[in-house]
Formats: sequence, C-alpha cells, structure tokens
Amino acid sequence: MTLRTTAIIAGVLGLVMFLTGVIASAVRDEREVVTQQSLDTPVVVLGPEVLALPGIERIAINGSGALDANTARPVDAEAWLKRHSATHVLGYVDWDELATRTGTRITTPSVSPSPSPSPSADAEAADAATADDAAATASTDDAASPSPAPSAETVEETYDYGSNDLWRHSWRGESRVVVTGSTIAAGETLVVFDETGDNLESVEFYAVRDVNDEWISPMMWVGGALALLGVVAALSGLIDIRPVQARIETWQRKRSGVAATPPRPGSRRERRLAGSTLPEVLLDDTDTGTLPTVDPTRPTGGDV
Amino acid sequence: MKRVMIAGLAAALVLAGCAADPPQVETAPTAAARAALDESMASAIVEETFAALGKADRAGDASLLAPRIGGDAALVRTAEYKVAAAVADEAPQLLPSSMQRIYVSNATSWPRVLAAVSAAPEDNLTPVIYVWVQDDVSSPYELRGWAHMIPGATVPAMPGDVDGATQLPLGESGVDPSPRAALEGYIEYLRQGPESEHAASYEPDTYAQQLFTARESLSAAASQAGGAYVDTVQPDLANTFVLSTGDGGALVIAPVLISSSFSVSGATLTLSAHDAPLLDGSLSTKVTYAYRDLVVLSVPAPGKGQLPGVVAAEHHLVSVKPE
Repeated sequence: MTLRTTAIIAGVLGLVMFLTGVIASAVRDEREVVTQQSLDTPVVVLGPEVLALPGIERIAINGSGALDANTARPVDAEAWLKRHSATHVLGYVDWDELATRTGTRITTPSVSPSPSPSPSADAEAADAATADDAAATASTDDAASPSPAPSAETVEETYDYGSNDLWRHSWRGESRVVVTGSTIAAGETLVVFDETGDNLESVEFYAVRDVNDEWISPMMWVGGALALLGVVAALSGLIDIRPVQARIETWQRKRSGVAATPPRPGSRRERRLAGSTLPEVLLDDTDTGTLPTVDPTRPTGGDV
Repeated sequence: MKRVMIAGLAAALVLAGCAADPPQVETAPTAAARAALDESMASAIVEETFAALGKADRAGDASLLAPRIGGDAALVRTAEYKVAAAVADEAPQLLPSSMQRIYVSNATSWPRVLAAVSAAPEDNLTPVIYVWVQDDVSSPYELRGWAHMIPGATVPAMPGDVDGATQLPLGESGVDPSPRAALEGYIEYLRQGPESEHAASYEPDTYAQQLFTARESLSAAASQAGGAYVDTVQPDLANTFVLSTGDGGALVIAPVLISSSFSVSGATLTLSAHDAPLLDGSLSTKVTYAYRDLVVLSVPAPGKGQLPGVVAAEHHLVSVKPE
C-alpha cells in the first residue's frame, strides 16, 4: 500500500467523521429545554423535592386570569391543600413530560348566593358589601358550580382561598406568573392558584441540561483535516508530475555539483565514493615495543 | 464505502441524542426555618393589625376591626369606643404599635400563637404584650388580647424567629408546676385573696394586689349599703396557650373572665360616667361588671429555684349588666 493510497483512505474516513459531526451538530439537543404540562385544576403544587431538582431555572404557570404564586412550609401547604383540588407536580417523566398527580377535594362555596340582588340596608346585605374585596363574592372552582348571586354591579369574582398568613413569599401575574428557582428557599413548597378559581392551563419548567456534545467540534476539525489530506492525495494521482520531478532532480544535481562522468580510477573521488576513508594500520605481532605508525601523507578525505 | 457512510451517520444520530436524562426527584431538602412565620410575615401581621386598629379608632367603629382584631380584643375595643363616644375625655387606650420583640410559634397544627412585646410607651406605662391567634389554616392571625407588663417583670428569653417557640400543651410535664396547674393555682389565688394558701406559690404582682384592693373597698361599700360584692374568676382554658421559653420554661397566655357583682339593699346604685355607657339595661339594686382580662404567667424552667409569676396582666371592662 503506497503512501498515496493510505492518505486517500484516511481522507475517506475523515470525510465520514466530518459529515458525522455536521449531522450530530444539526440534530443535537438544546441545552435549554422547556417542559410543558397541561393542567386542569385551579391549583398546582410543587413540593420542595421537585423545586430542588438540579438545572431548573424558572417555573412558569399559565392561566386565564390573575395568578398567585406563593411559597409555604410543606406542612402548612398540605393543610391548605386539604380544601382545594390541586395538581401535584411530581417531577420529570422525560424532557417532554412532567409527572403529575391530581388531588380532588369537594369544597363548599365560601359564600352562599345572596337571595337579595339589591344592596339593601339590612344586616346581611351590608356585610356582603363591606366584605367585597375579602372574597365575599366567591364562586366555586369550575363551570359546574352554581351561578353567583346576581349583582347590581359587575365585579370580578374572586375565589376564597382563605388567609394569606401562611405564605412566605408571593408572586403575582396576569395570565402568567414566572418564578425563578433561585428565589425559592430550600425546603419550601410552591403553590400557584388562579384567583378566580378557574382551572390553570399549563405549567412550564425551564431547565438547563447537560448535553454530551463536546466530541462534535474535535471530530469535525480532525475529519476535515483528514478529508483535505485525502483530497490532495487523490488529486496527486490524477496529475502527471513527472516532468516537474525531472526538472527538480536536475536542479538538485546542479546544486550539489556532482559530475555526470564517472570518477577517474585511482583518484581521491573514486576512493571517497568507495568508502575507503580510514587509514590502513599495519600491526606487527612480534614487535611490542613500538606503536603503530600512521603515514601522514595518506589522504583522510576532503574535497576532490 | 456506502456501509461506512451509513454507519457514521447512524453513529452521529445515536451520539447526538446523548443529552443527560432528566434529574430524578430525591429526598426533599429540609427548610432552614422551622417557625410558622418568618420575620417579614410576622411584621406584616403586626402592621396590618395596627393599620386596622388606627382606622377603627379614627372612625370609632368596631366593625372595622375585623379581620385582624377579634375575640376579647374586639370586645374590649368595642367597649372603649362606647365610652369614648359618650365621654369626651375617655379616648380609647393608646396602644404602641412598634415592637421590640416578636415571638412566633413553630407549631405544625392549629390554633397557632403569635406574641409581641411593644416598645415602652411614651406615657410612662410599661410595655404591652400582644397576643394573636390563628384558629385554622384559612383564618388570619387575629389580635385576641393585650396586657401591660407588670412593673419590674421580665419576659423570659424566647426562641428566635428561625426556630420559633414550641406550643406546649396545658398539661406539659416538662415544667413544674405544669402550665395548667400554675394557671389554676393562680386563679384560685385570685378567688381566695391575699390570704390564700396559693399566695406563697407565686411572685407578688400588682395585678392581683389591685384586684384585692378593689375587692376590699367595694365589699366594704356594699356591706354598708346592706348588699354584697362578689368576684367570680374563671380561666378560659380553651383559649389559653403556652409557649416554651428559651431556657425550658413556659409562658402561659391566659384569658381570664371576671364577673364582679355589686348589690345594695334599700339604696340606689349609680354608675360613673366611664361605666354608664356600658350599661346594658336599666339599673336596679344589683349590677354585674364583666371583665375580659389577659394574664401572662411565666413558669420558670425546672431547677431554677424560682416561683411562677405574672409578667403582664390587664383588667378590661367590657360590659355592665343590671340584674
């Protein structure tokens, strides 16, 4: 196998490596991933073990109205959830799906529909009017609930979720509330609900994940270099460079000054080419008192 | 060649899918704070309470006290509004709104307690101890009572707002006497007077002394008019709460119901200008004053060699009923 053939084979392998890298780069997973899960309850709960999952940067909840996100001690959140239907997010199934569990609670409306549509001066009507912003006009949590009391004014209904005294940190959003993971203290539970009691639409986890793509760039560079080498080798087989080689050899001979004619017999050039450059030493076995002598006139090499 | 290309592309597709698996749920981390309320939550409750109180005070309208003020505190304030409306110089008691200490509970069930000690008021009175109670998870913390500290008394060191104070049962056996025994003994002391055998079991306090002094003078006055004066003292155990102190003792926060009936024979009763607005009906020969007091009793840790003592107490008149 010649050098050229070896280079061509390496070039083919390099081409394959380069294309592999290109394709891998095109289809590799993104580092930032959004996992969305639809919801069908007015409340969604994320426990501290879920919030502690590594890589989660933000959590967004989408709904149709004003949304409240709150953190609480797990024991307090559990007590609060006994009165509300909620979706518990349990973690990832895979990068495209979240594991959930729905807890359904049958709760009574906090305020019964008032039989009197007019804000009369009697005690009951007065109480309802003064407690307007304290969720006195609450409805139940879904469309199956009875209609709220007729009212002379159009007031946005709010669901009575009770006191806010157990919430440690709160966020609020209109149709969407986003909570950054780092703002939630370790060990707390996140509870998000729709203020009107309507079902939430979806929960989204924004996470940064580890993607094994460190090999792609080196593979593309090495593959590209090998492919280039193979191309050069292949091209060298297609082009007749013998005239150029002949000219190069001629030039080299001229540079080295080597004569074209054979050396003259007995000349120093002939001896040098024959490799006889060491002096010939004569040893006399019987005469140990004298050292061998070297004839200084004998040539030891040099220019011709 | 073709096989090599196919193998390479397949390898690329396989390798390109090498994103790490999603993280799996493990053990939940433990929260650093054990208290039911953190500092900001407790401060918000205090602020909302005094905002509501200020609004109600300005309007003289007790209906504005809810939802932050309820129970005995609302009854006491309602009585003060009645008096203030009828008597020009009888404004509702000025309650300091800045706190020097807030004590939170670390309870995991309900009801829960929040207590606070005010900064010293500017009127040369002692600081005020306030008590809030949250009945259940859906209810707000509600101011249930307040009492000025006894002169010279000290509130024992309490756990901080990270760990919170443990709510102890009334029958807690870790302190001696138990909170229930300490409270019932003190109530018995109030019933029997300074000669009670329980007197020696408690540190002297001005609350009991004033009660006994008033009882003595009113009994004498009733006797002169051919009548009688009777104090009825009852603990409200259902609304009594106990917090652990930092050194292993207990702080008993106890509402106390006192009815003081005054009767005369062959004479006419008249009420003071302060008490008259609280009269519910027509005055005859017997009248009963209803008080909703708050007593804060400290039970020292075992081995301290100290007696239980009252650190704060206040006598709150809420109504006057003729019989």
